[in-house]
Amino acid sequence: MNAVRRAWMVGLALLVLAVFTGAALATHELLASNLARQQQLREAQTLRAQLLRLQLDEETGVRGFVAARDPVLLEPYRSALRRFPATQRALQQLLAALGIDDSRVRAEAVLNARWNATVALPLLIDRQRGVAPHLELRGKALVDRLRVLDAGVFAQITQAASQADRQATVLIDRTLAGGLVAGVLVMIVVGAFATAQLRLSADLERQRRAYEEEKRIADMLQEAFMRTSLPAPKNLDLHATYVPAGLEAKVGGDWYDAFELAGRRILFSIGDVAGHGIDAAVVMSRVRQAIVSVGIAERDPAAILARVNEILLLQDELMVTAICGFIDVDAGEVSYATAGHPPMMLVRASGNVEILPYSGPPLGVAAGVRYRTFTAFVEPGATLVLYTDGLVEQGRNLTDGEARLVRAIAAVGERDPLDPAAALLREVLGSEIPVDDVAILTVSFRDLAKRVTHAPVERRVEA
Amino acid sequence: LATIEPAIVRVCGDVTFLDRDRLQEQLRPIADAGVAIVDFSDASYVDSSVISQLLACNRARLTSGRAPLRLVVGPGVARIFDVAGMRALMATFDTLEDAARS
Repeated sequence: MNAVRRAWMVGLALLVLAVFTGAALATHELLASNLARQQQLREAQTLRAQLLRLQLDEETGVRGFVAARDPVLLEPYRSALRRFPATQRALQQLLAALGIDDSRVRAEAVLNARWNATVALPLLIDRQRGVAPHLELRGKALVDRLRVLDAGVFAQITQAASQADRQATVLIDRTLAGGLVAGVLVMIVVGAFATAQLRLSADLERQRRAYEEEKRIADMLQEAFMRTSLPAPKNLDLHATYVPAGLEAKVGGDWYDAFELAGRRILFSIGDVAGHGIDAAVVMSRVRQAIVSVGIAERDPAAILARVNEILLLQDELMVTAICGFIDVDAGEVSYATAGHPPMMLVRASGNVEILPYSGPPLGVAAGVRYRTFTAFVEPGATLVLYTDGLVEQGRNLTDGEARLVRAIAAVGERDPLDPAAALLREVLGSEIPVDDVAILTVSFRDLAKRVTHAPVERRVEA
Repeated sequence: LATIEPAIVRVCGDVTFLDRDRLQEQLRPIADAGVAIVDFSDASYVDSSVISQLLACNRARLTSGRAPLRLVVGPGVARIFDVAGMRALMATFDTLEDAARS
């Protein structure tokens, strides 16, 4: 899953989450409002029942007083008479707040007032013990009408309560359905993420295996291509070492090479193919072979590099840095040409370390490039050091890397080890794991009587 | 900056083969520009893969008849470019102004 698709999925998941959170909050509000309404409706029913009971209490009190003429029996009437207006107002306000028509409650109040004025009051004033039939009839008629009104209010409140109940049911159903949909969507998103992660893990595993396979093949090729034996002409010691990068992706492409030609001449080369893996190892082999093939017939190192450059341009897209040259063992003459490669260093018999001249771009990047041949005369006791960039770019600072190498060359020269190349590698890298391949080739011009004893001085020489 | 003239790509910090895809993405548009500058003023280190990509870009420009890349070489990469022989193939400058003015 690429970053864009992942971002879209995260965005979608967040959108779904936001929508459902909003919906859940809104539903919660509606449910809370519905519950409050239902509570108010229950209170309205209670007030309605109280109002009817107050009317009946008034009637019962009056009836008892009329029958017994005992003032104590009037107490329910008085109490109900006091409470009726407040209860009626409370019910009326509550119905108005609930949006229910309160005209019946107002009518109940009117009937109650009329009952008091036309029935209760005459009965209470009448000093005769017993029942006044006409008043009782009127009273019954008024109370019956009040009961009818009460039944209407009851029906209104009950209908509203049923409606609120249905709304609550709908809201709860909707909440459950929304939760179900959200759950399904979350499962889909989580499933998609999990699938993407599994696919990514599988891809990474596939890449890792491919990587390991390529590294294994590249290592095999590198090992097969790397020269294991170097020429050993009289008065010349050649040593070489190669260490692959600690980082697998950087393995491959470095080489060193040396052949003895007729006339005690040595054809040598060192180089580095940009890129790594099998491609680099294959190109490295081709370049080495091309240098040898051209070098057998061509005595000018610059011409060799120019020819190899043309060959490389025909075959490959990879850039190659290289140094190639000849050593005339008897004359102590080194002729060489460079192509974008870190310069050779020469430890003079005196102990001075010189960075030899260099020029020219890498091979395989431009047609018609003219390289330059340099010549250095090397005395017995001196040592040439050729290396690849991994040796001087370990700290990602070429200037510091070269200075470190100069110091290391001087230190190794003082110790005069059997294998200067290996000693130099240890001196420069110590226990560090190389971040790039490192190849080193040293050529020592034998003179046991003149070993390095002087402190190193870096300087450049002109060819 | 790679879409206007002169097309400029600024390379900063340490750039290695691990950054090759990103660098390639930046260099692709400037291959067709009339004047193309790659500014290494703030680069502290580049490895051979960067050199290789620059040279490939330069080669593509030369093949299509365009002028060589102009490189602004900062102190962090001066020695690397010097050793790699970049000055033989591309125009190098000390500042972006010099590169743009030339």
